[in-house]
Amino acid sequence: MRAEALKGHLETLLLAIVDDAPAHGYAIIEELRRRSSGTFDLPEGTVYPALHRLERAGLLTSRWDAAAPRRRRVYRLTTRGHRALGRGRTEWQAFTSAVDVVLGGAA
Amino acid sequence: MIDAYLRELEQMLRLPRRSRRRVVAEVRDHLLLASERDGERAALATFGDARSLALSFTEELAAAHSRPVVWAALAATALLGFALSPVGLLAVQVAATCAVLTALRTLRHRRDPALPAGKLRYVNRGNGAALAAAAVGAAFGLPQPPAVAALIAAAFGALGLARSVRHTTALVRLADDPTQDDAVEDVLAFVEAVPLAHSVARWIRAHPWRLCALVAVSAGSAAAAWHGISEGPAPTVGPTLEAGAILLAVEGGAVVACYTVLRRWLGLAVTTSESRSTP
Repeated sequence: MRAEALKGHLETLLLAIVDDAPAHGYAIIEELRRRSSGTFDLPEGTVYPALHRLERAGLLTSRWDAAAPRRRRVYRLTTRGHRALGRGRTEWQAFTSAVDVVLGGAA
Repeated sequence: MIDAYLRELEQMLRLPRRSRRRVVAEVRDHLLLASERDGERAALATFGDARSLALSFTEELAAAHSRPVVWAALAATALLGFALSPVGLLAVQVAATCAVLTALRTLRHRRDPALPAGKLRYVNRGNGAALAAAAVGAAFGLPQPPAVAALIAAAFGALGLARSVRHTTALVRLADDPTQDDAVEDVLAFVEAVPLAHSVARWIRAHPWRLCALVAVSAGSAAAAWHGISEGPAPTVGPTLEAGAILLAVEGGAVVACYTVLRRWLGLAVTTSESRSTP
C-alpha cells in the first residue's frame, strides 16, 4: 500500500503498536508489516518523521536504550497518547461502519 | 553504502545539531538491523531515499517555526492600534491586512504537520510585511507605551521570522517542485464554511480582484459608518453623507492601492487551475 493511502492513519497505527510494548523504529515498522500481513509496506524511513511528530505532540516519549548493543531509541506511549489512541480507534470504527453501510457491506 | 547514505542524510537534514544527530543515530541503527537480515542494498531500498526523509523533517520544522510568528505580527498590529499617528493610521491597516490574511492561512492549515515550501514562502512574506508595517507605524508613534510594546512584539516576531525563513530556504533547496500557492483559496475556505456563501466564494474565485473590491467596499462602509456614529446625529443629512462618501472613497481606494502593490508579494495573484480545484 502506498504511503499516501495511509496518510492520516499512520499515526494511530503507530500508537497502537507502541501501546502493546515500548519499541524502537525498526521493530515498530516490522510489527506494522506483520500485523497488516504485508499490506502496509511503506518506505521505512517515513516512520521516523511520524514518530518524532508524535513525540513533539506529547503522545509518545522516547529514550536511548542503554542495554542495546547499539544506540537505540525506544518509544513508549504516554497517558495522552493512550487517550489519543482511544479516540483514534473510536473515530476509525465510526468511519468504517459508515463506509460499510454506504458500500452495502453491513448487514 | 550505509555510511555514504548517512553522510548524505546528515548533509541534507537542516535540523538543530542535537536533533540531527539523533535522527542519524536512529537511522543508522535501523539500517544496520535491516542489513543484517536483507543486506545493505535491500535495506537502503526499503528505507527510502535520503532526500525524501530530509524533506519530511524540514517541512515539519519549517511549518512549526512559521506559526508563532503570526501571533507576534497580530500582537504588534493590535498594540499599534492604541498608538496611532498619521503614518501609523496607514501602517496599521497594511499590518492588519497582512497579519489577518496570514493568520487565516495559518489557521486553515493548523492541523497539517507540514506545509509545502511554496505556501511557507508566502506565509513568511505576509508575516514580514505585517511586522515591517507595524514596526514603521510604531516608530512614528513613539514614545507612547503601546508603540514601544508594538516595537518589542515586532522585534520578537522578526527573530522568529528569521528562523522561519532559514528553514523555508532549506526546504526550497530540498524540494524539487515548490507548490504554487494561492492565498485567495485559503481565504475562500473560510467563506465556504459560512452557510449559503458558496455562491459568493464561486463569484470571488472567478477573479481575485473581486475579493479586493469586496474588502474595499466593506472597509470603506465600516469607516463611513464609524464616522457617522462617532459624530452623532447631524442637523442636516447632507454633510454626514458627504463625509461618509469621502471616507468610503479614501478607505476603499487605500485597500485597492494596497492590493495592487502587495497582491503578488502575498500570493493573492496566483489562480492556477490546480489551486482552484484544491478542496
